[in-house]
Amino acid sequence: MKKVAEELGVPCFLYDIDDPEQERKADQLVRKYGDWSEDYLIPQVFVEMNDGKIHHVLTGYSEGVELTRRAVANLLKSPLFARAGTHG
Amino acid sequence: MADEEIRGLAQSLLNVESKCYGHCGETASLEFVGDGTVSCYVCPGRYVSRIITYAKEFDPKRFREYVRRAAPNMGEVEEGDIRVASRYAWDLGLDRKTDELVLREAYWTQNYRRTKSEDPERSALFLCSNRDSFFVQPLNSKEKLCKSCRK
Repeated sequence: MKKVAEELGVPCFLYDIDDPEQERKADQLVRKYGDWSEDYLIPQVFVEMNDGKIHHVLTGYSEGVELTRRAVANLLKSPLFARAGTHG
Repeated sequence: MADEEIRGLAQSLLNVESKCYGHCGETASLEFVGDGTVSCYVCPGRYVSRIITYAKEFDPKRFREYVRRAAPNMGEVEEGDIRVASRYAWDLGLDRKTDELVLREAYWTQNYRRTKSEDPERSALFLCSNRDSFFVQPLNSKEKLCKSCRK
């Protein structure tokens, strides 16, 4: 995600939920835009568009890390991130 | 989107082998239950590590009720025991013109239960080998059939 953000020239914020201050920010994002539940799934990825709208674009897979990895790869190859070029 | 289509997508895109957490550590496979909108990860010993439901939209309270009925006498199923996820065309790798929400998943993971204890004889949820019925028995039990199938 960091690499794509760099290529797009946009900031990338990673919130570590083990850090109470960052967890508070992550909770706000997930509660407002994401897949909220008390013990919500991670990672969750959000994109802020030019018009300021925030979109939830991905939630990690409880089925397993492999599916999450594949989903992130699919997301990075999708038209949503097309400007960032090709990613395997 | 019809339930059948959602089931098809779940079977083809969300069907991976997993480890049986909290029981035997063997491989757990996805099995669809009833009409196919609910599935669970089950190991060869029939322990249910996770129950998942798929729908375009669902009511987490209704799913919680489903789990509560499936796992009676195992303590309260709390709101926080149910976790949800949205799946879009882009993360499922589907070639669709619109980046629509494809389906949503809700998970109940047996090992995440707050009331979890380390007692090897604690009550645990299993799926009967013969039919789509859940049953509760001690975690260390080797029985793979529910009561009615044992008769």
